[in-house]
Amino acid sequence: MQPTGVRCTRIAALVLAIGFASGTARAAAPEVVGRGDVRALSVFPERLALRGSERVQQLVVTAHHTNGGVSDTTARATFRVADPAVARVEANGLVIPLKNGSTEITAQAGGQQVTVAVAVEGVEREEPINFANEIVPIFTKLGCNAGACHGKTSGQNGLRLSLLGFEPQVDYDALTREGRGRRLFPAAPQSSLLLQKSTGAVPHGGGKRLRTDSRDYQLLVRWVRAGAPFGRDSDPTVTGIAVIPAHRLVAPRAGQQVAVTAHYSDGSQRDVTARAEFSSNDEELVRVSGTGLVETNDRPGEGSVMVRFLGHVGVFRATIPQDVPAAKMVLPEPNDFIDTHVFAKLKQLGLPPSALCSDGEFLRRASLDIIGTLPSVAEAEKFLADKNPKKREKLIDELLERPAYASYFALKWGDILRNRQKGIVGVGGGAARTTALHGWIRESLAKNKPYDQFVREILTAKGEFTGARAQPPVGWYNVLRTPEALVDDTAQVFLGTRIQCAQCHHHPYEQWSQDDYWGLAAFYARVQLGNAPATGKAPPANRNGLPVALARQGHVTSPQGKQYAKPRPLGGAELDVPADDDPRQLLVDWMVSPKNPFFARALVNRYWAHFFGRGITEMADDLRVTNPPSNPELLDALAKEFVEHKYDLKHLIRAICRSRTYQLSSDPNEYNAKDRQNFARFYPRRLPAEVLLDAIDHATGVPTKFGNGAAGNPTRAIELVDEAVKSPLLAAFGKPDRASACECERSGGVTLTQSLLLIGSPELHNKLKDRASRAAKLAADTRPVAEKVNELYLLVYSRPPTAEELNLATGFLAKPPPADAPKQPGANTKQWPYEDLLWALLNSKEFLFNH
Amino acid sequence: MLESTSRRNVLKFGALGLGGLTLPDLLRLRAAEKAAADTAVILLWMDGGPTQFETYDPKPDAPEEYRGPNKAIKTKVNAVHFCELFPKQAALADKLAVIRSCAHKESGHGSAVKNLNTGYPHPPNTNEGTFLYPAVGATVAKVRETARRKLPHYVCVPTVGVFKGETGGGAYLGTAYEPFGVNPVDGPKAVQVPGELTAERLLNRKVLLSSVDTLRRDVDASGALEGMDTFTRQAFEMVTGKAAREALDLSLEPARTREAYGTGTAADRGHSWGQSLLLARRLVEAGVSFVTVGCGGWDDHGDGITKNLPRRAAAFDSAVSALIADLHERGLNKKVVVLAWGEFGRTPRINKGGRDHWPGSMSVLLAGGDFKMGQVVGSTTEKGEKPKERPLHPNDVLATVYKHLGIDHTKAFTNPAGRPVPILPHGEPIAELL
Repeated sequence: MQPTGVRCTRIAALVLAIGFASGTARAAAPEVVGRGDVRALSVFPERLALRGSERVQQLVVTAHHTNGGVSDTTARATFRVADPAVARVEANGLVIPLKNGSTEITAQAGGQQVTVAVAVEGVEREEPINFANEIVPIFTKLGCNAGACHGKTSGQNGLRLSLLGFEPQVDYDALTREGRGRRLFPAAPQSSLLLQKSTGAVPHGGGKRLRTDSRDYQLLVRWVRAGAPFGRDSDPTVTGIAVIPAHRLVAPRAGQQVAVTAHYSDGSQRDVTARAEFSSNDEELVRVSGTGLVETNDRPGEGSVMVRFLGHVGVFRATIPQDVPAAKMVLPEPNDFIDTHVFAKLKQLGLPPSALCSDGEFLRRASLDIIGTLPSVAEAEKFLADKNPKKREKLIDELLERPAYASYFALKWGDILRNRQKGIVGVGGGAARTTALHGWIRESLAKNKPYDQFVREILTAKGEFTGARAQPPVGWYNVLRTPEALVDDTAQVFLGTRIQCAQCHHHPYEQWSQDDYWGLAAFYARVQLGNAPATGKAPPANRNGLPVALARQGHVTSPQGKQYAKPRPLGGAELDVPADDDPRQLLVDWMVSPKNPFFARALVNRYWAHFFGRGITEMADDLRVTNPPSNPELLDALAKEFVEHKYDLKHLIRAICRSRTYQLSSDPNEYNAKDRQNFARFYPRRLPAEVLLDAIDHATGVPTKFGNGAAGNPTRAIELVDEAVKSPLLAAFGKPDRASACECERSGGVTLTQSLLLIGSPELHNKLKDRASRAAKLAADTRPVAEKVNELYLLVYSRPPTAEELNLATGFLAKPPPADAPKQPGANTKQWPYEDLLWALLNSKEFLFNH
Repeated sequence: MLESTSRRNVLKFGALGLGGLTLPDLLRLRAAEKAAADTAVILLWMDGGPTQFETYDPKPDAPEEYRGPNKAIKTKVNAVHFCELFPKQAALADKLAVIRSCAHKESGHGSAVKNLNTGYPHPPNTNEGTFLYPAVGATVAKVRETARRKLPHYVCVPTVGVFKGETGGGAYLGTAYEPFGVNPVDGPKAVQVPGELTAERLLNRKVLLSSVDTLRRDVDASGALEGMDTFTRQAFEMVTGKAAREALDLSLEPARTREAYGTGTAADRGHSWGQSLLLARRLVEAGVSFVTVGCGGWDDHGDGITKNLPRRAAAFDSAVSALIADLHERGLNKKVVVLAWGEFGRTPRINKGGRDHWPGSMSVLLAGGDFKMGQVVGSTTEKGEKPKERPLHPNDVLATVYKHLGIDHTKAFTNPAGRPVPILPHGEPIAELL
């Protein structure tokens, strides 16, 4: 357990990072990318004091251009050392001390130069080596302790290291005590198996990882020769890392060197760039080398690089603008605060937004997104004819009051809350339980229950799921069943934090440790399912569901823990909870506090992703320091709005849908076709399985019958209560099994099986040829063909056909039946042309995608 | 560099989802896999858990209550004996490899089936539960998804009737990687469209679709629209072209071949394993990467060993030996690896004419590929209770299969909780076979 003071700083840093990646760096950052003539150079750090043989320093040389912008020039600079005997500089700007003394390093680039003073002392002194601080990072950087190698639980070829070096004592024992003492030879360090293997001198499954002329090798040799010390308890430990710079505007196809400084518990700091690990969050935008050189690609956007050192994480953000003629960078008038933030980002990135989408597109888009339903022909005609300039806002309000709104979002929340008949340990059945929870979700959404209250009722549920005093959310506990599963889903669903890694080891991309994980688990330690503690070890075989009770006592312990974990919220202090109180209430109190850095952000990001196909932070439930949002100000503003409006979900949806950003066309312009991150246009996405099936039913006029296992007598696919339904079409189009809380389980991808079903499945074919089908009716309809085609287009696309489309369709409908049509008298080929035309429309991307 | 190598690929499979693997990771994985792209696997899933004693690891010298009612017979390989119930396989033992020293710890069907088909431990008694990890075939389909074939990459031929996902699907990789289910009885019906969709009508529809489908493809930088176009073309090819229909049509095989594989008998529940294996061979020939064939029914408790096993073993022996011989005859034995196993072995001591669950030792059949055939890997103790030499884990078998497919099993896909999950958590290709 770390002292609370440290935790507070950590959480403060976290809030800052989730919101603004770095306030100071942002304030200082110029508005433009440095271009053209260089007026001056600056260098980080401004002076160097290297003490001891192991200290090195990464320089970062910055060019200040006459246009007011800056650019990194470290890789292009030439370095000259006044006294080359004192220090040398490698081509990438790494300074290596050679002997004690003082000198100056001059960096030259773009006709300018800058000088930095260097003082070297104690080179001859071989400072004691601390295993955890200095040796373990080498293993991490070389990949020795990765999950695919010696870091996996079973180790690799006899050597097991702790995953990513989080348990130095385990690694130390493995090297010094196991392997029959062959791993380390202090008498002849180079003959140590550790060094023989890693340099490839003897066969090594992982190949050659280390060069004998590297500094890492030399340090390992010195450590072995010194008798492989572990270090002293009093040695300083790392308290944090800083990435310099934290944020920059970087031109496309340009580079940026970063430096990483570690801060230690004794107040000292040192450069660890060469030993830190770097990884890009999106290689389409930026790549990064092992030495911390970031390179941008040719597309505009927000790139980020995750930096890790000894369990501490940091991030470098690159804002990559593209050149766009000022005349083309036209921004429409913002509709609301959302547009203000989105447009500011688009302006910064040089991404002109697409035009406003048409009325037909908006009607279809908003209906699909808010109520999961295609507009009817009458609705389309009415909306297209309406002259009211506020008709889009009016539509949003009307849609939110339709029962289908609650149905569609209950489907979404049913996925997230994993409302399924199968429990995680395999107890099937339970339609009564899933129906009760589904009904509760639906009603909560219809009543627009504030989100904080919605969550409180889920997390603090107890008692029965049916009956007079029912609390249907106990169904959530019935599916999750163990404190671990409850922690995983609580964090991922309501806090946007994927904490599962920390169940067994320190989270590799996060601040969270096992203490954090089990502190959260302790809130659920007293939960009882039926009469048994929720341990998951012996699930009572009740096929429907079990009541939830709260025992007066109950404990959880981490796998390595020696004592019971105490309830502690993420980043907070331990709580003492009297036996009369429900610890879960305290957990919710912490969650729904307006100051909570996760709760509101997680929800607004999730809802944003619902309407835009991707989160401001992507994945939508993966908010973390090392995965910064593409538009931090937007995420903050949405969260603030949501909290200020008392967690009003409908208000949030209204705000999102009213924005110009949501109403942009999906047609790209000359400059924004590659944008997949900043909402410069609407990103089309395939209709979700249930929405698609309903849309097919709607278009063909033949509803699907969900007998056979479907709970709650649904009449439409979006009303399905749980996962237990048999439909090849729903399965192929990715209706999730609700096996995880991640909405990513719902596949939005396209597959061969989908295409096979759309082309020739009896499921679709029977709907098209049904005697009561749309095709049958249209074939019998005596109206002029053009009117009928018009109706079909309104029905499927919410727009009338173009003249060309009308022509094409009319021509097709007039064609005789195919020559190989069955000749028997019963063959109903009269409606075939209508079936075929409707089939083609249903197979078109304009129908299958929300665009 | 990144741009030039990946731009097209992004368009091609961006929409298909990377399953959490970063793009470069996936590209690397696929580049490595490319060299072995023409490889395939036929998995004979012996559901129930086959006995090792009455198959590949007879113990003629053990006390009677251990060795059971059957004798050991010589095989084509010197000093290697099989049980007398497998005479046909014994005759071509030079074309097979048997692993006798495989063992694990899970003795319940539900979990063991899942563990062996995915390489990951599942909670106990998950009989009704879901596969928490992708099956091998789904992983193969994921890695190979951009390699366009005329048939899906992962196909399943079930034991009985309709495939119900007995041996796993895509799990967190997504439903897109579930197997495509076919069977020898329905054959081409799997790609058959309703009779009213005549050839000319389908062609009319295809032409009509191409003219009404006017949405600009460049609205979608993820590639989903282009992906769907590709799949639509492919699906039309499957339902109108000959390749898929013919691959599924066993009537195109000479009667002699069909008989050699064995036609259905009551022993294999009226649903012939022989015909299923013949179908599997046609499928891998047509480009399918991974075919799972359900050969279940090996849960020989009670009087199973004495009463039910002999007939079942005979059907299995005919089917497998016909498949192996056929693959060699057609020069497919290097391309195709045949793996036959179930979820565990059975108790060394006979219990009233049957044997119960025993994960402590089990035998595995592996044939084909570039592996060394005509050998036995490992051994078990005198009474067959546990591995004696060369103890191996089922994951070592899976690692060997991935090796054949050219897939690096240490690479990870990210699960929905954001944790990178390696294709296999542990396991090494079996050195003796390489």
